[in-house]
Amino acid sequence: MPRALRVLVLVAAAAFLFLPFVTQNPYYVHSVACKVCIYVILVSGLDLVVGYSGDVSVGHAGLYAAGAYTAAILVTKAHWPFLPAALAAIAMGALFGLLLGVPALRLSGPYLAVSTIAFGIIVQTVVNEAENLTEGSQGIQNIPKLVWGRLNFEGNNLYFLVYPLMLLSLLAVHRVATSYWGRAFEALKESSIAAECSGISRYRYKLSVFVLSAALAGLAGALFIHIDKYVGPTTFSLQLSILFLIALIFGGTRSLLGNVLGCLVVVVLPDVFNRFADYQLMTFGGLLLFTLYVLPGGLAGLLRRLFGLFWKPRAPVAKAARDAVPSAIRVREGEEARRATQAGGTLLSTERLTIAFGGLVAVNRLDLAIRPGEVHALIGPNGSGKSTTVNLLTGVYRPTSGRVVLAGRPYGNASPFEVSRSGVARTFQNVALFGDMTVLGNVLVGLHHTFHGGLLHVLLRTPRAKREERDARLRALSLLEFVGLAGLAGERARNLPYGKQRLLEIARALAQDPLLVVLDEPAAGLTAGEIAGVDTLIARMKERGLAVLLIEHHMDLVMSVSDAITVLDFGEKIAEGIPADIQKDERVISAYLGTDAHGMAADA
Amino acid sequence: MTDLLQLILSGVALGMIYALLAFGYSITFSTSRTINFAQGEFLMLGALTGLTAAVTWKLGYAGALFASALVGCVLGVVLEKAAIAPALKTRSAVSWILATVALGIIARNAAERIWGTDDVRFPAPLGDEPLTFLGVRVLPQELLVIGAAAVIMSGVELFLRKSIWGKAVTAVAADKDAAALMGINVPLVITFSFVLSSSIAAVSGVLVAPLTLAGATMGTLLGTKAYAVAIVGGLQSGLGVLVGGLLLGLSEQFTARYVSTGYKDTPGFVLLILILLVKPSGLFGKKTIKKV
Amino acid sequence: MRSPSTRLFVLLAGALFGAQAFAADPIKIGVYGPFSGGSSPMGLSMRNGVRLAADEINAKGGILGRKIELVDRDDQAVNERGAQVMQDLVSNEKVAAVLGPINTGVALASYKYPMEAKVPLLINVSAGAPVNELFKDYPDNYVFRIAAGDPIQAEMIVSEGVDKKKFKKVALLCDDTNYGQNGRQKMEDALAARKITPVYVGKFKIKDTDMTAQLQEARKAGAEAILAYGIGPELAQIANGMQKLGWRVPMIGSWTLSMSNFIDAAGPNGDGATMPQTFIQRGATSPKAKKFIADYQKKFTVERIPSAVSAAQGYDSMYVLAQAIEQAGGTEGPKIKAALEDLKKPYVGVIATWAKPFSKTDHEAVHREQVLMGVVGKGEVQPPTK
Repeated sequence: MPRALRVLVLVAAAAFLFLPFVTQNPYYVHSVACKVCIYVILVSGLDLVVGYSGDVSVGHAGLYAAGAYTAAILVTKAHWPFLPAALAAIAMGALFGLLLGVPALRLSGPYLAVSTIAFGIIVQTVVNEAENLTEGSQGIQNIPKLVWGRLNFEGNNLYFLVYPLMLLSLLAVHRVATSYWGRAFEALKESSIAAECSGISRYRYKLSVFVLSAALAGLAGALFIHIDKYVGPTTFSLQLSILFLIALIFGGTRSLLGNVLGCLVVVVLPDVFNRFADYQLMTFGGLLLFTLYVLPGGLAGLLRRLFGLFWKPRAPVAKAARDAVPSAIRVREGEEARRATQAGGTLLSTERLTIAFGGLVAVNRLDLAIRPGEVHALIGPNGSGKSTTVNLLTGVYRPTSGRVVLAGRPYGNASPFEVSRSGVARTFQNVALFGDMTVLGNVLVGLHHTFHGGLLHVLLRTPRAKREERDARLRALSLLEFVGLAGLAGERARNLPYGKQRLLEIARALAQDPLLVVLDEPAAGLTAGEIAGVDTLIARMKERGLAVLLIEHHMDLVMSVSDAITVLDFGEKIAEGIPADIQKDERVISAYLGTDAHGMAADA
Repeated sequence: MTDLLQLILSGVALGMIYALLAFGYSITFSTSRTINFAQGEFLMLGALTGLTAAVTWKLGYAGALFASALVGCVLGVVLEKAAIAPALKTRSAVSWILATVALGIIARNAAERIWGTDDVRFPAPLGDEPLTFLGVRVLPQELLVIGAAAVIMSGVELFLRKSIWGKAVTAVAADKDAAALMGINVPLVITFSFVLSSSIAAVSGVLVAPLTLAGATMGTLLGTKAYAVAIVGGLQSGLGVLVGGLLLGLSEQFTARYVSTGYKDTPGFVLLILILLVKPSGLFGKKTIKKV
Repeated sequence: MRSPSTRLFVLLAGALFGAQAFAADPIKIGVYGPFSGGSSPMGLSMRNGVRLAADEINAKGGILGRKIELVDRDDQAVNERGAQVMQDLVSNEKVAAVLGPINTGVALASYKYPMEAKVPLLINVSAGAPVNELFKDYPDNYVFRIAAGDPIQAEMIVSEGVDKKKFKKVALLCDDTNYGQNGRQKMEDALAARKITPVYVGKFKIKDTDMTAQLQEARKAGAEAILAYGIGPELAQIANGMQKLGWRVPMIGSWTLSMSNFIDAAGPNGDGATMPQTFIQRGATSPKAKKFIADYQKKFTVERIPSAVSAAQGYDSMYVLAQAIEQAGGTEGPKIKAALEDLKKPYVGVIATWAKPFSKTDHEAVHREQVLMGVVGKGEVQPPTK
């Protein structure tokens, strides 16, 4: 954002604080503006779930209810003041968010949608039935006035409470979304497996995004009860959850301005549509369809496009990184790394590793040993179990029997995220980049492990958080420089040509400071010139002391860079040795020529 | 004992209503990976069109079924062209949810303007006099719903397996690209699946309206519950939908009778979440291994 | 937050759809209720009743020489929408008074705004909304009701069942909304006053279509009558469910048993259902009531009014309000309120002849005397058989 624009936004945000002095009309201030602010708090949280994390929630009304009722019960029955009640509402919202988030760990699309709908309906039913606590269908009346000494937040003055809270919420969402947290959400959304293999804990971030979102919904609920000083169960219907989604989509996801515009639209539009009398719902539905049709980015998307006509973003310049190239690849230090190099010369080994899908044994009792710093190739005809082995080594698949040992320590049931953290990084046969993120962003996801400042640091944007971000960017740029993509740092990953996408995956893998990099067919689909580039890259990685497991069909490449080769056929190891021996091995030649037309001869 | 049987029968009848509507979801889900949130509204439009055909135009119950099927076909095309196709262009699940919700809002408002806002009686073709078996009393219409649901569901399953159009739908469901390479007109097959699904919804409307009353708001809740049923059963399984429907219908009746009338729906929904946590693709859904 | 585009939109929409013709300084009256969705039969009937009255008044030259302009707003039966449209009516449209709403939750969320703006609110349908209770917090109470409140209705239902028909074992079936549960509470109170505990208390939800479980429980408990509180369609499912189970006991319930969607949907199964009524279409005897029905049918081209009670109360509420404004000699809220509390001329209405309907301490117009018990029969509500 250019500085001028940023100043403009700040001035506008400050100016709106004075709305109640511009008009005293309670309809505009108390009814519309306050409600818009409260909806924005909730919808900006919903945006984290839908826009950033890519999940669906049709149950946010349930979270809103949790906050509203917690606050209402505490202020009316326990006579708590507003502030602690609001904090309790936020906590209760977060707790409910955890419940809502659990299904998201395993479900997506229509399955997740229905479980969130069920969640919302259950909450509404409980609120309606638990009469002792919630007054049931009668709802809670007599919510006390919001007066603290000389500060009076009644009537239009409520705006002076909800508007700053809305700004704070938006700021919080903005900070989370632009930090490594936001990148983790987006990475999980674009490719959950690639994100996990880049060292991001799916559990932690999927649950976090729902909890954060729910905390905001809880706050919104606690404020909501002070608008009409009444809360009843009919408010928290499935329709309300859908209305929140409509606000989000109308305004445009992943945009603070979009959140505000969307909420303004859903709050004001019904009053505008009064002119259409009995056809207002039809008009509303038609407008919604129209928006989805012509404005997939919502109102904010439209503004962004109009704005784009006048202002072109400058591509980030990568000059600063060039000097930093030598530090791009870091050798791990510490306990693990020491053990790795001391463990009898073996970095990673598999012991009788076996996996069966139904009756099909894809990998059968495989023993593999990779020494520190060596380039080890794994070859074999199509369907021989190479990629399955990679998935076993990186925790994507769980072995049926046998185990993987890294630096003397067995994996057990390690998830891809834990495998990445313990020092095994990988690329994917079918490129799995985060397509909507920038080239730089993709590498930053790989650098996720370098961020140690928690959520509080992110929210407060502490010096530490700033420093970590700055360091990571510099490091990412130098990694891009290392693979030759520094000039494209600001480009969207999906717009890169295929060969460069493969290079980007390597950069992302290197960012994880691995002990071992698993390259799954890095040369597939590349031109001869590009393959030569990969060759050099592998050589340079080896130079820096990294071990590489190379799965590849291009024999030229394999033979030129490998220290050792293991050959698989039908899931079993049929040969192992140095390149020169493998080339002469009878079984290898027959496996390739006898079973597979795209074999060694064809590739060579 | 009689009471128990009576309760079970009511649960089954209710469950079959859910299952019939849920069945329509599974057809379109397999071809487009979307759920039509307006399915309940389509049921409602079918019922009200049927009512006009049967009562105003005096075409009888068969005429009502036919008219609703016809309306269902039109709705299916509109749904696919106006809501699903544009929404699929964006990758977010929220798009198709909102697009179909929008269509549902329009449908409901249109119905309110055409047929009014009142819930009206839909004359039952076989009369309102309950039949008695073993002391259990059952309305002829309930038997008709159970029978028709069985016939429609097995008929469509048979159609999908045996006829060339049905096989095309199955092929598109399995793999769009491969189906296209085999010369199948994929967009047409997808549209066809929506026509089929919407017709089933509309015809279900005529079947259930004599039990539920017909009115502009009759479909919304039914649609939501049928959606739950479809998911619990596993979206790609006809049998699953049936089991899911019966599960929800019976759980509602039994909760209402033995636990609490206020929490009637709750155990069904809790069960839904639990089942999905254990089996993310539903009771009878097929597990897919993600290829990396 | 008045964005220019919003204003432009309003302007365009207004121009396109020909907003009401502007007579010289009309008196604006707000009308709010659900005009779409599940409870819209009541909302629309009420709105039509109000319109009918307003058109008649305007045809005769209006009030104080000024025409009435109705400003209607759909609250969609959503509480916070109700509050928002109420603020729109009071603060933007600057209405002289408001008529409505239907749903109790909407009333609870919105009554504060007319109270604070000193604009009288005449509740013409909602039975559960508090009215006289509000004096506690607002000595200057601006909320009035011209509809039978729940306490009266519940008392009459219980009295019909226990005092008149001598049932000792009654089951309560009420919907799970604010309306139904408030009714249940009041019926339980009325029963307790007679030292009777209901043998079974059950709930049902809006749009429920199967009442087997509840009716089985009631039957098992040996209920001799069902006292029901809900709205038309679900009440019909209770009547139909009893027929299905082959167990018929008398059904006495809220006035909504007179709604055409109950009578239609229950058919012969609904015959005999008894309910308190302020107005019975069939039993309309006064010339005023007969004319009202004929005019309504003509104006809105319907045979039977979806909710005759709502329509009649809407109609009367408009006339009572008009008379108060006339007497007040202006449209200032406090003046209208004072006039309402001391209405000089009796007004011969559809429901009753309203002579001093309100006083300074009692804002409930309907008292037991105005309420009759109606019985469903021959597809209509019949006046009580003597």
